[in-house]
Amino acid sequence: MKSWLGPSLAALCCACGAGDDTATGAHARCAEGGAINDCPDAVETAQDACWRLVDCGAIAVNSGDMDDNFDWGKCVDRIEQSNDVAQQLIVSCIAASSCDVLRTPNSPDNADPNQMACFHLGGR
Amino acid sequence: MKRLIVGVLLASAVASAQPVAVPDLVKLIENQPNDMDRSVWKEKRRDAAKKLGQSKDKKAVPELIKLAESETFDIIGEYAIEGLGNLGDQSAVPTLQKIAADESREKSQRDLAKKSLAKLGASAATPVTPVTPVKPPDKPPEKPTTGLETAPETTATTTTAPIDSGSGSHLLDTGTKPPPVADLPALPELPDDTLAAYDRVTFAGGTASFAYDTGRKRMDGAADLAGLWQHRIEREGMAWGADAGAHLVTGLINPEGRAQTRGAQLSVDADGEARFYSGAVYGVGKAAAALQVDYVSDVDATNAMADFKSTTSQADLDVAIGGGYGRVLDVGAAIRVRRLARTLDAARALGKPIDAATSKKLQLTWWSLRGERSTYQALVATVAILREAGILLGEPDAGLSYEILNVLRDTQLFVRPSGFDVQLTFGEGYLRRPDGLVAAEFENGRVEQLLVNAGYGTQVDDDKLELAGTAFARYRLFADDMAPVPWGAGATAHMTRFTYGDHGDPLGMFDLTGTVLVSSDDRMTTDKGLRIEGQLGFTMLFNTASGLRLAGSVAEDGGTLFIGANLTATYGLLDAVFAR
Repeated sequence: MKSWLGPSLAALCCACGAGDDTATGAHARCAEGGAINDCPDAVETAQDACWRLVDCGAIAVNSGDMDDNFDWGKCVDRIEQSNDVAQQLIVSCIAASSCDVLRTPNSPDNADPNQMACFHLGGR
Repeated sequence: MKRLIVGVLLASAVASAQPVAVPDLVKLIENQPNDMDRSVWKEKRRDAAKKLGQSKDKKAVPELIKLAESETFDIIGEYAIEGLGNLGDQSAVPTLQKIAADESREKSQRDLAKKSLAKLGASAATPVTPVTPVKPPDKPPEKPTTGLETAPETTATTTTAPIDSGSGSHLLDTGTKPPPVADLPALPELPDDTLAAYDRVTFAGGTASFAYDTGRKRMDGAADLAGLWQHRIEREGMAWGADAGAHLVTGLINPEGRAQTRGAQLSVDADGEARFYSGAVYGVGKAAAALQVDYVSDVDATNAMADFKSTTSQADLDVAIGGGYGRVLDVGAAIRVRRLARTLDAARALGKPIDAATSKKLQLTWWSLRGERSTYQALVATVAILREAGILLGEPDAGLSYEILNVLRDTQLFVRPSGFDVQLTFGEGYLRRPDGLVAAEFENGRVEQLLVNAGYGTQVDDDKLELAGTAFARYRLFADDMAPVPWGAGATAHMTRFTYGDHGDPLGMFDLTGTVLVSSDDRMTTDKGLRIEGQLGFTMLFNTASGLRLAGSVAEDGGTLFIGANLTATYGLLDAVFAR
């Protein structure tokens, strides 16, 4: 846990390329094994929060042909479509969560955000 | 043969009779030529002082008096004292008497002053009363003048060292004893073999908001609060550290009607590590514990069947044992001492190098004062310690005070790694996960794993360039037959260039970071992952843990390219470090 919190402006663009129907594995050091594998959590933006979901193996980077699947891009869209307070809550919640809490039974290739408590914390 | 001897004697007599260019020598002593290296210049000015003392030219006396009074730690002061005796000018007597009686001076200097006084036919004792006083003077007798005095003599015994705002000439006025170091804060006690230590407390209020408007008849509130304590001490034979943190996120969204969302998330974690060294090799034991509780109630605006309510908790308890080689220390405080020495040296105010004991005293003083909102106490204490140790020559003038203040406030010295460390550990953990929320194939219950961690850091180019990196690898062991065996590995390297203004103002830092991560979840639905990422950023720091950062990044992950830029603000407070 680190002290990186606060207001931020971000622009993340140009996501391109093509994945296949298989999601990649959880990259993060803390993705498996519990608290002994501590992760720095510099999460301030919607993009950061969705990267954390990818790193934890909770969602896929790119769902490829599976357009309806909840991947990194849809994650960012969903957070950014929320109002300011909801965005803050979702991002803060994802930042403070351990990787295991962020996963759903079908993670990462077919994750269901409605089973993620952090998205509910932002309301509807 | 006789002719040759006579010739040589004549030549040497002619040579010694040649007038020495006193003004040129004085100029060389007082001003460093642009094309001359500082160490070469110091040697040249010593030679020049020696020549002045042998010149038999009384025009050299004022400069030698000045050197004798001010150069208390360099041998040039001794050349001047000796030279004053050789030149036979009585105007040097008061200065020499003062030096002979000054017990803060080196014994060799006092003895030389007595010898020079003997050459001048004067006593080493300072006359206390006028020889034939007619009546008591209305004011104290003025001390003999040479025309070179730059400041009145001070006998500061106050608890705070005065910071002279006058001209730089005060730098050379060291005829007085340094003020005693008083009112210093109680210093933390560290064992003598301590190599480095830190103690940090960080509170972060990420967001806190509450709003209600009659237009939408909606009430919103959110809070994100975090706190972290970190403590570590590195000794020659062992090292231990502990971290503890808590993070609370809570929110309320209550629009008009049935809909309402409220929730809270609390996570608490702590970890510790102990190492026992034999040379550079060590054995290590680690432990970590974490607890997270989530509560969310999300009421749908129209459909009660769509309401979501969840209260979950999870807990981790891990231990690991293993071994390693080396260590990485945070040497930020030691660099601050080095910067201080460079600043004094550049201002010609460094009497002698800062020794280890003074370095430790300075760092522990700063540690004790870390809770102060103002740097005033740190500045006063630093000057007093340096004066008492004979390191700072004279009271600092305004310019030097500002530069010392910049060193003390330098936020670019926050976490400066130095050294190499690699360790291999075996971890045994028990993970308690909520039933039903996590699929069976995810880790739950007992987990064994092999862990590799490595770190590297070095500070070069007068501590203005940092090269550092970290690496990790994890591999699950002894998994059940049908359970996946996930693994992951990664490395990050970064280069940071710290920039400063002309007077030591920290301007910010440029950094270049490269990251490679590879992993596998070992599940049917996932593939091996590879991410390569690069980032270029500029950070401006406001205090030890607060700053503004602008960064651009490029990442490739799973066939997808990401190009981004972001601006980030950070807040933090209260940290203290020590490194030998």
